[in-house]
This record gives sequence, C-alpha cells and structure tokens, in this order.
Amino acid sequence: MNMNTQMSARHMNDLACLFGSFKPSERNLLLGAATTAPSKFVHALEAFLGEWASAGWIEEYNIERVGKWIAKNCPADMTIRAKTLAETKLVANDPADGLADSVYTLTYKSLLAGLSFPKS
Amino acid sequence: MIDYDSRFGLPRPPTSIQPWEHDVAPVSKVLLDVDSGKALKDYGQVASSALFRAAAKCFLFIWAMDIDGAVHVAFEEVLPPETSSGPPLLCGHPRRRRFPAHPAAEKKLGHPTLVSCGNARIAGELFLDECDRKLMWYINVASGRYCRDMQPTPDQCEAVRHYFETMIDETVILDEI
Repeated sequence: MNMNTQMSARHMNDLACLFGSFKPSERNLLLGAATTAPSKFVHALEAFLGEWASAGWIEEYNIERVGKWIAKNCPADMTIRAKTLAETKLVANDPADGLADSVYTLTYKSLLAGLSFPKS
Repeated sequence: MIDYDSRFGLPRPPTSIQPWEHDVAPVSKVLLDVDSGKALKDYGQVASSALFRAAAKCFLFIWAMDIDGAVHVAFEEVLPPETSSGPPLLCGHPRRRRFPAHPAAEKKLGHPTLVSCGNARIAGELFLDECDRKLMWYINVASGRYCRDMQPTPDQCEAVRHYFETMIDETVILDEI
C-alpha cells in the first residue's frame, strides 16, 4: 500500500468515525467531505453502516439521523448515492436472509427512512 | 404550577430496552439541580483550557426528564463485559465517542437507565462542542427510545433548552438534527 493509499484509507476511517459521534463540528467536517470528496464520503458511510449491519444490536435512530442529515444538508446527488448504497445492500448478502428485521436489514432501512426526509 | 405535559411532553415508555440495561444505572447519574448545574458550568470552563479541550470533546452526557419533571444527567457510560466469574467489577466507564470504537462495539447505558427503564417526558444528549473556535454547551432531544416516535414540539425543545441554560448558567445551543 503506497503512502497516498494509506493516507486515503486513514482519512476514510476518520470520516466513518465521525458518523458515530455526529456533533455539529464533526458534521461540518462531513459536509466538507460530501462536497469536495463525495466518493470518499460514500465509502466512509458504507464502512460506518457495515459495522452496524454486522453488530449484535442496533441504534436505529443513530443511523436514521445520519440519513436525515444527508437529505437535508448534503448536495442532492449525495442523497441519491446514499439511497443506492442502502438499496443495493438490502437486496444482497443479508446473513439472516428471510428473517424480518435482522440488524442487517434494519441498518439499511433506517438509513432509507432518514433519507426520505425533505430537504430543508 | 407548571403543566409538564404541555411544556415538556407526555410521559412515555421507552420503545425498547437493551438486555444489559435492566437493573443498572450510570455510576455518574445525578439530578440536575443548582449543585450539579454549577458542576457542569465549572466543567465547561475547565474544559476550555488546552489541557482538557480535546478530551472533553470526546465525551457527552445523556439526560432524561422523568414523570415528575426532574432531569437526570450522567456521562454516557458503557458496561464492561461480564467475566466468567460474574458481573463486571469495574463500572462507570465513559463512552468515548468518535475514535477508535464504532458505536456498535460497546454496550452503552442509554436513556432508559436514567429512569429505571420507566417513563420519560423528553430526553437527549448534552455536550461540549466548538462553535467559532469557542467551546459551547449543546443539547439535543435525540433519544431514539423516547423522542423518535413521539417527537418533541419546537416549543418543548426550546423549553428544555432554556431549562438547561438556567441550571448551567451558560449559553446552551439547541442542536436540532
């Protein structure tokens, strides 16, 4: 892994952590990434959601707030990309396939619920 | 006489309780009163120094108003894992947000543990964060268990923000997300 790739991975990991904390100053950092580095933002969101999806419990509202914030504050294209991410995950690879309301399913459904909020 | 129902919201049960939240309360739990309000004010001022600033930003407090209108506040804590020989010996660990742990990696003691898993009128988080390079107090009403399905009105949010501002005697900003 070259230095640029390492830096990029570290930056993405930092961004993913910010979704879990989500204080106002951290949302400003996320908004900056959503605007200037949208692919990195989406990868960080995917990493954040992936941790929840494979966990033994879930804070749905934590994820729903992220979706709501994306819908209200990020560039419109980001809502579409986040929606596509969640929908793609929902139709593939649920380890508890067939069981309603698995943590995996709830993770991505919670994001979609948040994304459905109107843009302010 | 205060009409708590209209001012802060109707008492409602939590929508869920995690298995590890029964019969446990955060070690740091206190009633928000003149003394604890003063402690929070002092904490905010100490946290503004370069020595404590970064650490203070990693933590937050959770709060909940019970049926009688009393507000309970605690550091957001995690429950250490049980050992093979019984319950954990060490309690009261603050949950450190952001890095390195993902929220799913820790068994946090959430809002229901502030009110013995009973009813609350309104609940959320209290924290310090930077605003224009100054450390400021923020509250939200972002309790998933008490305020997601029955969301507080703007007036109720403002009432509770004002209550915290009065008790801490510092500017408190409502974080509306």
